[in-house]
Amino acid sequence: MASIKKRDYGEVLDGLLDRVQKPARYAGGELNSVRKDWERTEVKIAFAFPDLYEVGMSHLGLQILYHTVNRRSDTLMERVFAPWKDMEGLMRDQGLLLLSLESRRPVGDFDILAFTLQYEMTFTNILNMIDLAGIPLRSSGRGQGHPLVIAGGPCAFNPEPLADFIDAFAIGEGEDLIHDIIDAYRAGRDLDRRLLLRRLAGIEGVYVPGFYRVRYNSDGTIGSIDPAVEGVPGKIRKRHVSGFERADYPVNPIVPNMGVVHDRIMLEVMRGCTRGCRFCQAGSIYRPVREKSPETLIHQAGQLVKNTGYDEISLVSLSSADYSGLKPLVRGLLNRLEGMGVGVSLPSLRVDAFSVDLAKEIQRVRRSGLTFAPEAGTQRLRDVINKGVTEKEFLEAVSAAFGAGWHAVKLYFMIGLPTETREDLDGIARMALLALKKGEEAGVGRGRLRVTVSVSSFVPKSQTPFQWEPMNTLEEIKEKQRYLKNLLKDKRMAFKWHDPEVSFLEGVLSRGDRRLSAALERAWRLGSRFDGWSECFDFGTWLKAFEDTGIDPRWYAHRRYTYGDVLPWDHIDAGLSREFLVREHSRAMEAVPTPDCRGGRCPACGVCTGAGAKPEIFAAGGEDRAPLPGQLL
Amino acid sequence: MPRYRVSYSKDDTARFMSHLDLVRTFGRALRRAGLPVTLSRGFNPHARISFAFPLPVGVSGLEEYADIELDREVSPEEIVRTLNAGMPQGLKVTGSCRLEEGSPALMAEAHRSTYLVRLDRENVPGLEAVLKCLEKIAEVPELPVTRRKKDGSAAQFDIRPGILALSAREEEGRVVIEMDLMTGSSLNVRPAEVIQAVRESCGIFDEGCRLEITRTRIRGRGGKELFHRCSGEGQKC
Repeated sequence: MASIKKRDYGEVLDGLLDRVQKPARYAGGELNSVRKDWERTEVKIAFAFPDLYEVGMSHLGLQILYHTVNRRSDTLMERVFAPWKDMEGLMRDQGLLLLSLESRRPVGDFDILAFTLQYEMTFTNILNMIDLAGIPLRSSGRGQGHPLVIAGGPCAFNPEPLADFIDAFAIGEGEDLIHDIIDAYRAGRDLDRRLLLRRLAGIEGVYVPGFYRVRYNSDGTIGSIDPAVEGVPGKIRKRHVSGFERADYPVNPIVPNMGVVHDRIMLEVMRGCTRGCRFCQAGSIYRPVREKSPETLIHQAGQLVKNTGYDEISLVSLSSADYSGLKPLVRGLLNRLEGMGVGVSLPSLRVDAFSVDLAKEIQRVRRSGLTFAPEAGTQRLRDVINKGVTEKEFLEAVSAAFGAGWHAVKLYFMIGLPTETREDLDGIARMALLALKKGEEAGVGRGRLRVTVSVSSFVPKSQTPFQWEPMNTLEEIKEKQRYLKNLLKDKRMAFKWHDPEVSFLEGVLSRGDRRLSAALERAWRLGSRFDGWSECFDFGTWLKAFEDTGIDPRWYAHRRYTYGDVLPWDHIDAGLSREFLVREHSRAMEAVPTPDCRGGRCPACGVCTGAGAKPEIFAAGGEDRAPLPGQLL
Repeated sequence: MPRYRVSYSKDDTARFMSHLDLVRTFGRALRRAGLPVTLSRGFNPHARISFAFPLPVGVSGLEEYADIELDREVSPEEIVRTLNAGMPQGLKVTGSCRLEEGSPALMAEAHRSTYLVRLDRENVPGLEAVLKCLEKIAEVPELPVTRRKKDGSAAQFDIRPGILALSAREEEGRVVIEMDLMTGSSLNVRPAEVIQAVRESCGIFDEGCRLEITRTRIRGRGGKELFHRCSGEGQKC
């Protein structure tokens, strides 16, 4: 490898940009990106998104943290993304280190390298980026001159598989926590690395894995996870933002120079979700639900349009149709923006006629199809997973969609859910056929009517009522996919499924412990990268990595934990009480649904009582559901 | 509706934007600028804006053009100022003027482009060899290059009639080739094709040679400036 002088990094990069696909991924210089004076800024943070630019720039969390950190005069935050294979090859060939987009400086020159953990299948990219930055891969190998490597995001709710590589995890929402971390870093930057980490571990929501000892039982299960040094908490409680209405929000987000996955304004109407689907990790970890007022949102939308020039605003949240101020919000947005040629869209629809009518009302750009997620094929199984959708609502929704002029619907289901039987698979096919029938009844033209059934495989996630549940074996999933494929042969139907091998690995990593670090490193050394991308994923490499490290992945994916077992993430406290999770799990086994807490019946999940959080609902005491479409405009 | 022609430069990090991304960026800049943009009709209304021949990704342009239609008259200075307030690094509107009624479209007017190709000093023979090769090319009656057709198949295409002038000089120790090439719907030659022809006919630099390509101007027939039809105060912009 040639050695490159520091000041020449940008020039070397320029030379490579003419030789890679989509060079705009690495070029920077976008509108609203921030470049500060390096020498005069005390703390330098590189925000690392371990996937392609197009994916990372579609992530709201990046925009929020970039904005809130760069508002501080003492700190700068720059961005770095995972280089695609072509770029990685050239970088390694030329000896070019991983550079930030803004100032094109090596990531290793920053004080803090902060990864976001959105998806288990990006973990090998994290290792690759640390290595491309020239930083020792393992936390234990890093010293005074290396950046602090931290990580946060949903996958930090079971951080254990990454425990050996990350110095400190940020658990929960980052808006406030990042400032606490920066303050502690400023105060302790001259300390010995271990002492600095001790200081960080004293912040609520910070988990320093190196300070905890895991003991194993003779059967390989976990005996205990305890602090190994004094003064660090036994349980790390997640952080959340209260007073969401006034939370710092980026009204001048970076506008990418190239098409990205979500290329529009993201207006976060609320955080959290009250539905309580038992498989859903986001529904657990983002509790309690917090809404912003329509006035605030309309004001922010106006600023966002002015500062970005986008012509579309997406109302984002886990379930925007549940937002209680929807009626005044939509009315206000349309009044204010219509003349400017700006449209409003909903990224996800609830399965009911209301949502369809709403979509029809606001969607200026008519897309060919609508997507619904009933998740399971029978009422019994929908009660097991607490997906509060009835067949009546489903039929009304698809009828409304076809009636309103859409000629295609896409239906999302999961297979491999706990208690699933053959009947539930038949139910999926039955619902798809019913949807076709509704399309025929609505008079959708023969050649145009289309029902797409998209089936993912259930992956148990930490911090959910299904965390104890095993995942189906590869053979079971494959057999179920074949079974469904046979049932969905109508020419007007399309059947899509997820790669079962990817789901299997997700399952291994989502409930894994820190012993998996070895397999992760081995897989990366054997060449695994971009495992979430079908053109890159190679299951054989992973199997070899497990074999080389003596780890049986099936033990992790297919294991049924008992309530008495110590779970690898037991020391990470998402705020949901253990009693609640156990209760929800046993209600699931009896197919008993639990009502949405917006309705006023508190399921006692523990977040509001134990963690001292409060739901922030705009229409206090008002409708528990969004208004009916007739009242909308 | 009044039509305006703007000139702009696209270099630095913005040279990596694709043409589609450039179109989107102008659309957003127009919305940010709050200019009374004429919207197209249809389900998905968009600003009425048209561009001259797209630059390949990675190629800089110092004098590029676009035509914009507005609902009412705005001073050319205001167009320049408000658009520049919403542009990413490397994209800059340098001038604007109002077009006379009935002016032909930009695409119909653009006829020739001048490119500067700066060669990587490490991989290149001296100026002598380059000049000799350019002379040789000037003398050949035909210069076939391989082009991909829309269906993906390859075909031979003679670019010689589209090469209007070729010269080379040395700047700061680097060889710079200047090319005047035809741009337009009848015949369009890309600078990379000329480089490919040079490489194939003289064998003087290899594939790994780094090229920095800049389109310095676009002109109409007979070398006419594209602002020549402009009326009103913006004429000199």
